[in-house]
Formats: sequence, C-alpha cells, structure tokens
Amino acid sequence: MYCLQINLTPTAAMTFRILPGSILNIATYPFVPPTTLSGYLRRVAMLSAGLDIPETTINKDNPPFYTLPRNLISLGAYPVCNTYHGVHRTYRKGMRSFNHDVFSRLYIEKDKANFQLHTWEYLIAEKLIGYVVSESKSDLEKFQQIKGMGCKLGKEGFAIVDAISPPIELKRDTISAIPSTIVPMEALLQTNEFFNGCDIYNLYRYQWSSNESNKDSFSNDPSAIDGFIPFVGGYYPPQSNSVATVEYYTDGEINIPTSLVNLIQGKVDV
Amino acid sequence: MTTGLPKTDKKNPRFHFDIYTILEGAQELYFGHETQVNVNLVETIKMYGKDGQALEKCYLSPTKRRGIERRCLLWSPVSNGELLGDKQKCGIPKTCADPKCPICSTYGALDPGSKTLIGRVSHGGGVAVQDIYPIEKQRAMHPAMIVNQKEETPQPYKRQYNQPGILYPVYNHALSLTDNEFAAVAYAFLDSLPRIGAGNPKGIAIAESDEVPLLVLDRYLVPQKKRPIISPAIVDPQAAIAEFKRLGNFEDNDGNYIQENHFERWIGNLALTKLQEYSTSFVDAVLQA
Ligand SMILES: [Zn+2]
Repeated sequence: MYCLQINLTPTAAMTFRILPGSILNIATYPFVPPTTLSGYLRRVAMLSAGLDIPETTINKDNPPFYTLPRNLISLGAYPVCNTYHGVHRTYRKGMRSFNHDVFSRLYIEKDKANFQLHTWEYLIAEKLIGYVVSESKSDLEKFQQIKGMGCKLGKEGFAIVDAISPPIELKRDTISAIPSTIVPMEALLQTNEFFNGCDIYNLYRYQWSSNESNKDSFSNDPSAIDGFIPFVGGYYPPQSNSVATVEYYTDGEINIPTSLVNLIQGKVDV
Repeated sequence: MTTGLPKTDKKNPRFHFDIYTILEGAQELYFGHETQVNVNLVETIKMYGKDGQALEKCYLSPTKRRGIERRCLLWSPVSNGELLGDKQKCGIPKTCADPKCPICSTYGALDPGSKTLIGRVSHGGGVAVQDIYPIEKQRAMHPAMIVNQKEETPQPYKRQYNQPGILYPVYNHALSLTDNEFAAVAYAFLDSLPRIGAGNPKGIAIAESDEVPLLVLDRYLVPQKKRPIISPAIVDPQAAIAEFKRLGNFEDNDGNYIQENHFERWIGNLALTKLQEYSTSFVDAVLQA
C-alpha cells in the first residue's frame, strides 16, 4: 500500500459539521473527516488543472459530487502534536427564516422575532496532516502538482497545500502504536481494545455507485456517488499520546489502521 | 456544466486572488457579539500551543469581517441615489441569488428550496499576534440604552476592549473570479476597514513597517511564491512582521512587483494602489454606471 502525506496550512477557522446535530448548536469534528478531505483534494486538483471551482450553483435535488476516485482512499487530516490547535466555541446570530432582510437594514424598528442565537464551533489549527492511500503508486504521484494551491475546506474554512510527500510504501503489521488517523470502532471492539484516550464520533463514508467510471481527479467529471453510509470511529487527540493495538499499514512513523482503509473502500460492511 | 458559472469571454478570464495583510487596532476595539446586550466580552480564543500550554488571544473572526464586507456592498451608494442592496433587491438573510449580482456572485447566496450560489470569497486569519488579554473598562451607560429613551436610569456596565496596538494577520481568498468580480471584493475589503468593531470607537488600519503597508495582493492561475501566512502560534509582533515581509518578498524583488508564469504579486504600497484601482473600477462600472 502506498501513502501520500499531505501537509495543509489552514488560513481560517474551520467548521466540519457533526451531523446529525442540533440546528442551534453547530458542532465541529476536531479533525478533517475523510469525505471532507476527499472533496477538498478533488477541488484543489481541479483548480491546479486550470478548471474553475465546481458546484457554484447547485441543484438542490441532485447535487453532483466531486471527490477523489474510488482507488484513492482519503483518510482525513489531523492536527499535529505540539502545534497550535483547538476547538473554539462562539455565538452567532442565526435566522429564523430567510424571507426577510432585517440584518442588512440600516434602520430597524423591531427585530427581536427574526433571529436566534446559535453556538458555533470552529477548529483552529496551525497545521494539519492528511493521508491518502492507494495500491496505485502512479495515481498518487500525479498529485505532486497540487502543491501551493488552496481551496475552501469544510463548511467554513480555507487551507493551502503546503507540502506533499512522494508515495510512501507501507507494510501490514499488528503493533501497538499511536494511530495517525481515526480508528473504526469495530476494529477496537474486535481486539478488545480499551477505549483509553480516544473520543468516539459518528462519521460518514461514501456509498459508491456500482458504475464508477471517473478515475481522473484533474477533470470536470462528477464522481459516481449515491450518498453516505454512517460508521463509528475513535479519534485519538494529538495530546493524548494513547496507543491502539490493531493491524496497521505502517512504516514505523505513519500508522494507518487497515480496518479504516477497508471500511472506506466499502470492502466490509459494518 | 460543472460550475454553474455564467460563461466568460476571452477578454474576461477568471483568476484566483489573495489579499494578505496585517491589521492593527489603532485604538481600543470591541469585537463582542452585538446582540449580547449584557455580556460585554470580546471574542477570545484559547488553544493548545507548544508543549500543550494553553494560549489565549484576542480574535477578529473571519465571519465578522465577511459580514461587514457584505454590508459595505449592500450599503454602497448607486448613482441614482439608491443603495446597491435596494437597487438589486438583495439583503441579509434574503439574498437575491442572482448570478449577475456583484454581491451574491462573489460572497455567495442562498434562496432556500430553489438555488444556492457558493461564495467564491473566503475570509481567514484574525488570531491576534500578541497574547494581550482584553482590558475591562467601566462605562456609564450602555449604547443600546441611549437610543431607547424610555429607559430612565442609566445602567452602568463593564465592557472589555481589545488593547490598541494588537496585530491581526488576515487573508481574503477569492477563487475563479474575473477582474470585474474581484473589483467588488477589493472595494468591500478597503471600505470595511474603518467599519470594523461594534459600537465606538470603530475602525482598524493596515499596519505599516517603515511606512510601508503590510499588504500583499496575488493574482494567479498557478500559485508561485510562498504565501505570507502568519502562524497563530507566534506571539512576538516583530517576529510576525519580519515573517510577513520575508514570505511576502518585501525585500527581494524589483520594484515591489513580481511576475512569473501565470502569477503576479503586488507588494506594500503597490499592493494598496492596485487594490484602490480595483475598488475605483467597481465604483465606475457598478455604482456610477
Ligand atoms: Zn444579490
């Protein structure tokens, strides 16, 4: 298995909305979920190929997906230990309805009825490291050209691709190590791993259409995706220093649970 | 059609633009939430820093800057005496969502149930450089009470202020815009600076170093130079300024302008002049048309 390690510099506070969630309390994952990173890298790839940013006007009933092709498996991006990071919670004025223009009026008589307070969370991070794995070394190599490009990341946020490694070869091994990514709950349960130091999140992966055809990230073609399938994953925050004993794709420094790769590929149903 | 964007012609190609700057609060600033009448706290962020140490800093949130810039466009005066938002029938939150609207086409819009225009301008930065905690001041009467004459007794209250002299690195990223579309962004960015901060005093300025504004403007299809982005972990203002100038090529260029393959960068005074040119073209082409 080959792996790209992608160093991202966020230039803005980011929201990766946890769904389902409360309408009034917008919570964020403290990392970039796998599907979000996939969509981001695809957009960056399109921009680096000189294409316009996609999905500017979307049709609500049938929005096209722009993701990495199925053989390039996005595993998410994560804050790095010993760098500045954290989740910031703030208040925002939300709208009860969208049929008024109170917030832009210069003279307001009565506006109490039209807004409500939301709490809103943002991930703020100095650096993020993202991982994409594939059996295809040559497909990963094409991504060298996205270096330096930036794009929106998440519901709110923006990040620049600072550096991108050449494909790194990883070997399967069952070891006790700090996971580089989230770990599927199923893998932790199977090894009777005690959930020490890990936070549990509901996450999503793509439901691929059977007739997946687009293999070219640097094209205009939408991805063949039917929707999302939920799964549960454990996240080990950078400061937790906790280890998990599971099977990894590893080179001694990068530790990617094989169960996560299988799950996101859709090879197993959990 | 993948983008949904109206077609442009050869004379109006799309580019990516980035504005990088360091803003400086010239006086005490209040960035608190406008609606929280009795909670007069400014927005601060507390994060893990190096060695897991907590670091608390003042914050000029990108969301607030975005809102102020959008209002600057909505309230910009059109030649017939109207404001642009009224002329365009565009407001907040009821946006017109017309792809030709100079506000919605760049800052985005939502017409629930019918269409969404994804904004192509993203706002970033805003984490203060110095870890100076806001100061608290006693005020005689809340400004909200001054307009509401029915309240008889003035309510003394305390309010926090961000201290003057704090630096805020901020960034505006605009993707796939024509020069004409970016002109609205340049206008909004420059026009918003004196309006930043709730209540009075108000206003923030582009910080200077040796009388040169700490401002960089990039226009490109292929990003070439390093981006002048300041790590939120930096607390030393001199270090932040030096880093901004190094990454922004303030010293190592010919005439504060760099041109490379599919890339242009304007630096310092020249960046300000270029933004003012764009801003003027927005006034000429949209407001005075
Ligand atoms: Zn509009």
